[in-house]
Amino acid sequence: MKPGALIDSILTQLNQILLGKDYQIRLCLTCVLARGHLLIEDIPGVGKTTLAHGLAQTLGLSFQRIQFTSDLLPADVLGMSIFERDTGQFRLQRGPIFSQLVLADEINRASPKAQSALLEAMEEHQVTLDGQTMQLPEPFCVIATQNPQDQVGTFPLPESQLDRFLMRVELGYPTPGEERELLCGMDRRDLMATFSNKISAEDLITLQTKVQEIHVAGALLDYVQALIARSRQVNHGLSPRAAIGLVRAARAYALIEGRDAVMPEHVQAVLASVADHRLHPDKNGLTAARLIETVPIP
Amino acid sequence: MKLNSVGFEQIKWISLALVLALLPHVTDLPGWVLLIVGGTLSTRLYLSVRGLPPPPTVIRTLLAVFAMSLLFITYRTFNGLHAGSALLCLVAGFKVLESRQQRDLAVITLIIYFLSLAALLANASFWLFAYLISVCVFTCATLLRSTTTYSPRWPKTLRYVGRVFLQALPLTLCLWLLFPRFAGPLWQMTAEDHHALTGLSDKMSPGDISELTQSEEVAFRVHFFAGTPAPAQRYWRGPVLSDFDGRTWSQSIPTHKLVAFQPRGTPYQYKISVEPHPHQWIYTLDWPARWNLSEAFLTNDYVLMQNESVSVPLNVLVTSYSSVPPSIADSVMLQRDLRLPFNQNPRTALFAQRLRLSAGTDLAYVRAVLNQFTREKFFYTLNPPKLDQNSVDEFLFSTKRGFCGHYASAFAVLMRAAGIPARVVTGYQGGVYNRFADYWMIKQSDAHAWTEIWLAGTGWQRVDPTSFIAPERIEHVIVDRLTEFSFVSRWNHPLSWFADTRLRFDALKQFWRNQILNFNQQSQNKLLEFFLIREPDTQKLVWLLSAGLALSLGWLTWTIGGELHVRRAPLIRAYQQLCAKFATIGISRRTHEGAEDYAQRIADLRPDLAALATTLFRDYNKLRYGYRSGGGGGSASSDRSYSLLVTQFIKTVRALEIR
Repeated sequence: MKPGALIDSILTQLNQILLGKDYQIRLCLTCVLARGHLLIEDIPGVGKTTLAHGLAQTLGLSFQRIQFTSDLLPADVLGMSIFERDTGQFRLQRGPIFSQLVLADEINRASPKAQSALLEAMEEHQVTLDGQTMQLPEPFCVIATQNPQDQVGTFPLPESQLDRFLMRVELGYPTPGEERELLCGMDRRDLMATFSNKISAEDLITLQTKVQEIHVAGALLDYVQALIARSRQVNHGLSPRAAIGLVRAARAYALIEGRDAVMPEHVQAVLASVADHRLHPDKNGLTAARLIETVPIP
Repeated sequence: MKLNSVGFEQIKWISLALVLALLPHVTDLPGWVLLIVGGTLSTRLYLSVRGLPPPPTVIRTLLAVFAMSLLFITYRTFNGLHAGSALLCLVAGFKVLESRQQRDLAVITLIIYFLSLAALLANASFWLFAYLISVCVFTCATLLRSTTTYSPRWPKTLRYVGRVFLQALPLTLCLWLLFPRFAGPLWQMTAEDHHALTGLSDKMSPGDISELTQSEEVAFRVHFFAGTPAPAQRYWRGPVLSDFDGRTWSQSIPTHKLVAFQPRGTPYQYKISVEPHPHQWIYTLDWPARWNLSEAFLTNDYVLMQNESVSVPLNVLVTSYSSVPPSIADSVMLQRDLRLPFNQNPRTALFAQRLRLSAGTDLAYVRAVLNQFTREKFFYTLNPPKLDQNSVDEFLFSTKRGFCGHYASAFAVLMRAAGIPARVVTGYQGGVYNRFADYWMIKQSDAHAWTEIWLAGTGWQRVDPTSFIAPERIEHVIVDRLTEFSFVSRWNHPLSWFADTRLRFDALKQFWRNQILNFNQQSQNKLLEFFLIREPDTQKLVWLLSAGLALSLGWLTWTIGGELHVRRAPLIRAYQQLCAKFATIGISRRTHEGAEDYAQRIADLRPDLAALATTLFRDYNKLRYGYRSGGGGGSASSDRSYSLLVTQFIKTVRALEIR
């Protein structure tokens, strides 16, 4: 199948579980296609977990869910050596991180120690247990969900950890019409059971390579650099890592939009989810939306 | 840390630029200004290397108030060149101390430009100008490097700054050529400035001129329009000294204006470019007859004078003749030129009277004295023994060593003692020819002194006793100090290239002085007349200036505007046109709005235009962002087809009409 048709079928299926969230779903898919890790931030109950689940199902990836709690230990994420009485030897028990799509639910509930265990694995795509280094499967993607910071019992992720997530997506409440449809319809879990794998893990890798082939013109990079430069006029501007991520995400978004080159619109579409969690709008008042408004397209 | 704040790196470079700009001022500034500026720079550098902010406002304000009061105490004013320069230096120093943002760097840069300008007001030499231009280039590059988020490499920055300076050139030329000039000098020299100038003075004691012969400074330059006098005729007349106190010769005051005289002999027309000196005379070739300086007059000693001292470089056209007719000398002057101090140099007086008696006539007496100089063992030396009060006696009868001043002085005393009116003339003799720009360069080292005697029937006549002692001093064309001592022809001298280079540089200096610095109202009018503008006046000048400014500023806007969209300009212009056309229906594109988003908005508001807008704006996006040149399938043929597509798009946009 052509990439366009593949992507369309993925989007169609995902739109069935999360109603009226086409843009957010596109962003989530963008993140996966750009080989990034995704942070979904919203209040409980708007469908974060459902979305992650649906993504795994649709993309045909092996899936594990880790519920982060305050007493979670790094070993609970990465795995550990277990002594087997039968053989009299230690056996390495791989943790839930060893799957293609890992859902780290409510990541800001866990202690920083457990958080960093996950985040290191995300960055390196490998885990070292008892001196033994093991590669994580490919494709590998972490979708973390997070409750807003002001909720009780949370350890907010530090800036350096936030930077590891390519994109952060907020889902938001459904519109009244969509909510009505949701209330009338089938239970989402039952619905999900009817879902099939639209693509295989291999297809996903193919799509991810396709992202790299999307053309980025010099004129577009001018625009990206102008955005980055503008963000640096305040405290905590966008880092080079963020800039690279922005271009990568824009490429993936262009692929989803069925284009062979990135347009400024694609950059604008992904900018909020790439930049907002890095810009600290609450500290310096510069949001991605404001950034877009103040930088003319050259 | 804020990203537009400045750190050690930026402060280091801007401080360096400031130090470079301060260098020309160092000799004029009081020591404490240098101390304060040095202190502020090093404090700020130390703080920035530690990552600390500038000192608190209170301390800075107190320091500034203290420094300003000190400045006022020193100069009693904030105005004027020196106080103003010192103030600028202090301001620059304090600005560095308080700089924390890129904006501050821009301010310091501006101060550096002003400092450079102030340095040029004090001294307009070509080398200083060249140095200050490079300081400005460096400062501009520093500013550029400090304010861009990525630090570009030096060569790239300098190339860019070079381009900026070249772009400024038309504007500069326009202002320089057309800005109305004032008739007088813009900046008068102070007495202090005069002190530093070297040159002949209105007095001559034994030993004076030998000091001058050490100086390689140029006194004046001369360009002969037709015919150059022989070396032995090239006497450049300076002050005439008639009063003698036994040791020192000095100019007698007052000097009367000379009545017009009928010159004789060969005329020489030349342009003389005098360097500033602290006196009123203008050096001319013997004997000056006509000149083009209205305020100058000829004294009865044939010295060309003006009422004020030559404080600015001066260019005068003069015509001199090789001889003057015997004048009817007025008796007062002849009396003056016979005076000798009472009871001094008695041996000389006795010797003169005896020789005059034995010679019989005045003319025979002159010959006898000159013969005496050649027959006896007189030496020409620049390091003669010191002489006391009866200098002429000592010189003639015991030391017998001296140079032009000694001989001229002794000869004049001998003449006066025998009743022949005589006076000492100081000036310059000889000169170096600069074949690169066809002029003669007369240096301070060419300073000379000779005598003039009055004989009934012939009038005033020049006698140079030195030429009898050391004829080579007069007749040789001294090419350059360096070659003078070696007695080899300059063409096979190993250092001749060096001498050549010096001559070339001097030619450049002369050009700078005559064409650039002396560009005055007159030259401006000439320029306008050249461009066929009749009767140029200030009003016409202002009109021309405005037109020139508009043109050069327009050109500047056009070039800079062109730089913003290089090469893809036609496509971008077509896009702007397209947006403008859609804007006529009341939907204008926001600057940050992407083409397709804009099309979507148009489609939402005007469904009838949806298809058209979507296609056009999508096409534009494809052309602008979807085209791969070079790598990724870009080949000559695809480049061509791309150009075709762009052309087509432009045509479509042009033909488009939106209602």
